[in-house]
Amino acid sequence: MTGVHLTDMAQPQQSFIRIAKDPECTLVEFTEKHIIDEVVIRQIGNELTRLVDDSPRPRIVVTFKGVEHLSSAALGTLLTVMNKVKAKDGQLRLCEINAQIMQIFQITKLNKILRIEKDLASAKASLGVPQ
Amino acid sequence: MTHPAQGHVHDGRFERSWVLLEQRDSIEGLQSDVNDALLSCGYGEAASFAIRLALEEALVNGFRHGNKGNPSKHVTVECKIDSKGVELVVIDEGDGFDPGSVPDPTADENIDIPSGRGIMLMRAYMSSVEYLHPGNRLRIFYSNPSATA
Repeated sequence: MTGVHLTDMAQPQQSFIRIAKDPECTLVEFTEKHIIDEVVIRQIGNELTRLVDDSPRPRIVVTFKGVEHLSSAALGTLLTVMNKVKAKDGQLRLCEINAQIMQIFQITKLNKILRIEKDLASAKASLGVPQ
Repeated sequence: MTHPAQGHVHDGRFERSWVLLEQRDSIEGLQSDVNDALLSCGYGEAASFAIRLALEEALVNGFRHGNKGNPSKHVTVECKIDSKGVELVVIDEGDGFDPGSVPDPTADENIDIPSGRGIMLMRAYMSSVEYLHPGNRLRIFYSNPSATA
């Protein structure tokens, strides 16, 4: 995966995700183990929105490998991205979510509307991406 | 019975208060201090995860909704840890908040709305969550699952 560094006017901004694009889908992983800082979450939201905007029909897999903490603001950003992906008739998959983070998705019942797969292989398979 | 000095663990108990502005370094410092105290008082990973999450949600609500993002306003946090549990009181400088005004985020009509899940998560992970009059003082309590009755 390669780092993406977006710029906002003249101010360079730190990226908090790594992105790997292949012909079938885009893979995203987080560089932070705690996704709780509002500034970080806003930046992640901006970067994911850019990915959605840049694709006519986005197919995105977000892996949570290494993520240890998540706040409600991060859930909100994921929902916003999901709505944008759906609006373009795209597909979004989440995967590699540890048990504690999975409990947050279950408590908020977001596991019912966000498509969550066990691991990267099953997430890609669910999109029909050849392994 | 002696009480722990402010900010020190003594005989499995800890007490401290902080007055914060909305600055990430200060919030991280607070989270780190509380986590260190939890571990020193014998609490485990589940408590650490739950309290970090609840405290983060409480602070965000205090700064964003209570203080309405005013960078000159403070949030005060009072923390007491003992063998029975962990009490956190989070006080903002706002006019008060009615938690009943937040719609159920798990209802079908709200499920894809991005906001409104902070209080729900606090209630899920804490033993009690109370907004004290006039609504700008939040008291959350985590019962030690290992405590004897």
